[in-house]
Amino acid sequence: MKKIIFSILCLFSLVIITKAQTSGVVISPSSFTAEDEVTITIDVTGTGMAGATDAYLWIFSNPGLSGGADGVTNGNWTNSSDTAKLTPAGPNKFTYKFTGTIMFGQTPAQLKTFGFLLKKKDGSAQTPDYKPYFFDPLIYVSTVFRTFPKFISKNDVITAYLDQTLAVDVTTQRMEPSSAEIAIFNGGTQVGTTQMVNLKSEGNKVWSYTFFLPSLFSLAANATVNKLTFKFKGTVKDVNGNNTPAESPVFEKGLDDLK
Amino acid sequence: MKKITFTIAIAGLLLFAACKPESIKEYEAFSSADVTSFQGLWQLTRVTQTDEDSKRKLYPYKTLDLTSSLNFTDIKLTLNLNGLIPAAFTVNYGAAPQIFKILGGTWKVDDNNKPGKLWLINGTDTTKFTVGAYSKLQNNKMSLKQVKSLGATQMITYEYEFSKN
Repeated sequence: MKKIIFSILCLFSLVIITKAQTSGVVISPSSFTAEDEVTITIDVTGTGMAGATDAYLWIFSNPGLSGGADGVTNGNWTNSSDTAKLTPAGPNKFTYKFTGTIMFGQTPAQLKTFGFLLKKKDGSAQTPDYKPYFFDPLIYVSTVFRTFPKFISKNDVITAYLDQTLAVDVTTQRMEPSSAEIAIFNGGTQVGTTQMVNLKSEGNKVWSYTFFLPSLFSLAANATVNKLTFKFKGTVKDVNGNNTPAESPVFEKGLDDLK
Repeated sequence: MKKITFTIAIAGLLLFAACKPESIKEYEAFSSADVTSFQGLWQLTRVTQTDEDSKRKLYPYKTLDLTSSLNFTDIKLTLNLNGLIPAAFTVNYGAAPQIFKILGGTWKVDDNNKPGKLWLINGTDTTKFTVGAYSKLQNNKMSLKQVKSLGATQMITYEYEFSKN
């Protein structure tokens, strides 16, 4: 049951993260534990902080959950701490690095999510809240969809796995998978056309597909890709025992800029 | 009789004195290889991918053998020398993906006498490798390691093993 709840949370977090990224926030790496260093990059265009030359981070853990804490760098709302000042990264862009356990003075077990906003030192202007961003657990938790390796760039060999035994929907559990649709995105914009590929059975209801993204999508060298989606397809039996088409939910995976 | 005994004793002494322990050569590990060891046509025979984040966090699924995937064993790398200096290289990928991103250019090493790093260069594109054990070169095998990082954190290691054709 815990696994199912966690899988649902992971899926939910992926959707949330994607939405947040399209609203001007990029978090690197694409997934992280409370002990990993995280870099947030924010484009404040269209917010109350547009045009500001200095920006200060106001960050908090577990928004909407119990056991929340303010970031140790916050200071006071009308007088932000100097350690909360972000580094300019171009017009209307700022960046900041932190590690969850240090920033919040909490243990990995206490840290579930975080949220933040950018503000002027005196609190006279601010962005909306950006939240929630999920911390991965420190221990490994199996999920219905995963990639190997976990952190991937557009120039890596990627193996995607579907483990039907961990599926949280009946269709994915019942389905006899045979293929998958792969699409790649730059933010919210699809890059190239969706590709249909044939799956390989790994046994025990685990299916995989290995690919090299630039080959599958004929990518230009300078193309930006920061997300891919997988939809697994196959058949299920109807009431008469006939095969009918079926498909899994869409699984998303963030890409990182590995060098 | 005394003469014979004396002669035999003298001969024995001479033989004993003539015996010297044979000098045994010190064991010398194959610990060096200059740049000429890298010259030639190399065929990819094995490629593995390691998730460094999984290794750090003691997660399962640390390494995947990709050798039988995506026709990787089609890849042929030719390293040419100009005299004793690394010169041009070409990569023939066959049906394999262009994993090194580049098809040809020049190659370099950090030390021509004891290479530790090897670079494939084409204009502004450079693919960097760490050279594996020199002992493999003695058997016409070459091991190259490529590390991908996010900032200062290593995330993926590819290990390529080549055989000289």
